[in-house]
Order: sequence, then C-alpha cells, then structure tokens
Amino acid sequence: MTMDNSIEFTFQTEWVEKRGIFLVIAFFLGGLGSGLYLISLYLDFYIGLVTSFLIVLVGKSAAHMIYLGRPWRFWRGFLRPQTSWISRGLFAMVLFVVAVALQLAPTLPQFDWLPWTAHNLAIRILAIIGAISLMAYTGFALAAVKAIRSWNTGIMPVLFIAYSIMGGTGLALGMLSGIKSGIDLNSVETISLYLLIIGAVLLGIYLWATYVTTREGKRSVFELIKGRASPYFLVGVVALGLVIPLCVASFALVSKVPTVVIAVTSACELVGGFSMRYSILKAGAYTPLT
Amino acid sequence: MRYGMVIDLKRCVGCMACTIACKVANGTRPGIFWARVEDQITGKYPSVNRSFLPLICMQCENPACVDVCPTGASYKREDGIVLIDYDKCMGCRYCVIACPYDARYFNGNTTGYFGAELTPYEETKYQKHSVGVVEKCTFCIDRIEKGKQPLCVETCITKARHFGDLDDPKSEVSQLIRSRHGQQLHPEFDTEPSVYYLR
Repeated sequence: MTMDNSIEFTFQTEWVEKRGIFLVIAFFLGGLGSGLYLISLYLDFYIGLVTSFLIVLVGKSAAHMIYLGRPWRFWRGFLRPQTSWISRGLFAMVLFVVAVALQLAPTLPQFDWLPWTAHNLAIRILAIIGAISLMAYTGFALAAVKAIRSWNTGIMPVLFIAYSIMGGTGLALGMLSGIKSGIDLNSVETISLYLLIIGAVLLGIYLWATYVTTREGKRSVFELIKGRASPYFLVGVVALGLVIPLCVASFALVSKVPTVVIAVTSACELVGGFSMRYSILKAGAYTPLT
Repeated sequence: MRYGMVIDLKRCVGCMACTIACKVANGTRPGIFWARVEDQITGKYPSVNRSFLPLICMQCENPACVDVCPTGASYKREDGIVLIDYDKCMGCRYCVIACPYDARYFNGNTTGYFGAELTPYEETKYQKHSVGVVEKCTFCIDRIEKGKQPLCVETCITKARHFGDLDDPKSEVSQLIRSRHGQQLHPEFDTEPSVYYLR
C-alpha cells in the first residue's frame, strides 16, 4: 500500500482528541449497553439487563455530559430530530432507558404493585427498538457527514450495529464466566463466534469499499493500516478485538475453555469495540481544499 | 438578496492582512481564525508553484452545518448568511465535523494570547464570544447592517475580494462570476457556497 504524499489531507480532531475522547467513550458505551441488552434478553440474563441499563443511563450519559461544551443545554439536543442524527440518537437513548426501566421496575420489591411484568411484550418491543436505534444512530451520524468520505458510506450503520452486538455478547460472556447463572457458556461462545465472523467480514468490506472508492477513503484506510491510527487498529481492533476472541471461540467448540481465559477474551473484545470506534473516527480525512 | 463574495486568486499575494483584520475586528481567541489563508505548494523541483487560498465560512445555500445541528443554534438568514446563536449551542461540534471547508471552530479556550491573564483588549473583545460553543465567520454582519463591507474585503491590499448580492445580475460579484467563470469550492458536496473563486 502506497500513498501520494503530495496531497495534504486534514483529519477531523474534534471527535477524538482532547475532550473528544469522551464522545468516543459515549459512542462505545451506547453500543455496548444496547448490545448487552439484546443478548441478555435472548439469554434471559437478568444481571445483563440491569448492567446494560446502567451502562447507558450512567456511563453514556456521563460521557456525553463531560464532552459537551455547554452540558446543561443538553435538552436543546432534542429539538431537531427532523434533520440531525444527534437529536435522533438522544430520542433513541431516552426510548431505551425508559423502556428498560419499565421492564425492570416490576422485578424490584418496591415496584411489585405495577400492573405489568418484566415479560410484557409491548415494553420489550419498545426496548428492542430503542436498543437497535441506539446501536445504529452513531453509524448514521457518521454516514451523514459527506465531508469525510470514509464515514459517508451505507455500511457504517451496519458495522456499528454488528460491533454493538459483538461487544455486548463479549461482555455477557465475561460476566457469565464469573457467576453461576445456569446459562450454557458454550452456546454463548458459539453465538460469539458467529458474530465475530460477521464483524470481521463487515470490517473487511468496509476497508475494501473505502479504499477503492475515493482518494480520501484510500488515505483513511492507509491511516488505519500504516498511519496514525494503525496502533489502535492493528493491535486493538484486529489482534485483541478479532483474532484472539476468534481463536478462543473456535477452541471452545472442541474443548472446554477455562473461565479466566473467557474473562480475558471478553476484555479483549471490549478493547476491540472501543478501538474500532476510536480508529475510524481518528482516520476520518477531509477532502483537501485546493 | 443573497450575500456572496468573490475572491480573485490571481490577485492574492498571501499577505494575511485579511486574517489580521478579522482578528482585530472580531477578537477571536488563539487558534481560532474566522478568515485564514492556506499557503499551498504544488509540483516538484524545479517546476514548483506556490499559491494562496483565502478561506472563510462559505455561507452555503445548503449548509451541511445547519442540517446536522441538533439544537437549531445554526441557522441561515433570508439574505443567505449562516449564523450561530451562541445562547442555543450546546457545543456538540457536529457542525465542525460536517463542514467540508473547515470553517468552524470550537471555542473551548479560556486563555488569551499571553496566557490566563487577559489584556484589556482581550477582555473587551472576548465578551462577545461564549466559551464552550462553536463560532465562525459572520461576513461581518454588524458592518453589513451598517452598509459597510466585510473587513477582509475592505482590508485586502490587492483588491482580491469583492462583496455583494449574488441575486442581482448587475452586481459586481455576479458580473465577475459570469465573466471570469467563478468557481465554488467542492461543488460535489451540494452545499452551494456563496463564496466564489476566480482562478
């Protein structure tokens, strides 16, 4: 891979450097929480459901508030859902938090008088819609930026949804390895394996499509593979986020994996999920002004 | 009425007088340049070319920054000028990211050019700027409303900049665009900039 160094590209910094790192954290936690919710709902894993709720309500909200220049004006972010993906994301977040709160409330002794149960279908559907919206909106927010060619692609929301579910499954695996829940770890490992394969394929498609489409996209991919974002991408996304978990999940198909290895792999997947968002944001190149 | 600017690149000598004039008039903090000049070198020795590209907010007809703004702080007036309501901006910087012309700046800085202690000039000027919000060139809106030209236009030593009504076919800017085939920066983004360049 070679680059024409006569073209001076500029890279976006606002969403990755200084306090911008908190936006990356917020994007990551939003995906992680909503992904954990979906897999926990599938596995009927109560602690996972509670954790997903807390990750979004506390973690993602706090990261957003630290990032914003004027945090107490956050409510103004609800005003433009007709055009802005940040507004739509805020609505998705509220829908998710409210629906999961309604779902979990009857499980608490203080709220056992509520006329619905945690298995209420309508509330679950609302929570699932909120979770999927929360996973997707970050991808849409990036894809809407025409100025950065490597983001302005339809695969971005799909990639973010896949990585959200991957990350959530990785975290669920780590949590399940440390507690007795009655859930079969091997079946979760199998789900994780399929998700990792899907994630790897989507990432490969994203890189290839970005590389061949525009010179800015080519430069962004160069930055991911050989440039300023390469340590995060190669070590974080590829090695820790894909190769190690894939090896462990494949091994789990034929033999029992020690719980400590599962826990470490889970941590690797989390690092991979964060690194994916960080490196894609960091490698966002603008079309040169000439 | 749609305000616009024409910049003759053949006349620009890269003196940066526009940048300094803008700094003086608007009193922006360190690192924030509402008007700047890109110094560009192309080619390889011995065939090297140096050119200058003055940049300001393009006051786009279809501004990407307004669409992505989640609060409605970024808005476009009927005369085509795109402004930011500092009292509404929450500092999410989505507009900074979305602008293809790198024309927006986040004012996250509380210091001046000489550190935390501000000069009397800085104390006066910085009162107009809110910390924690995004800001950009306004086409010198306060001067336009008094019937004057933007300060970068008035200051330009080579008269490379021209300002006027793009909707008026008889205006100087419209005539220049027609006669010398004025070009917009990156028309492929469909933002329809109100700043044209003569090459």
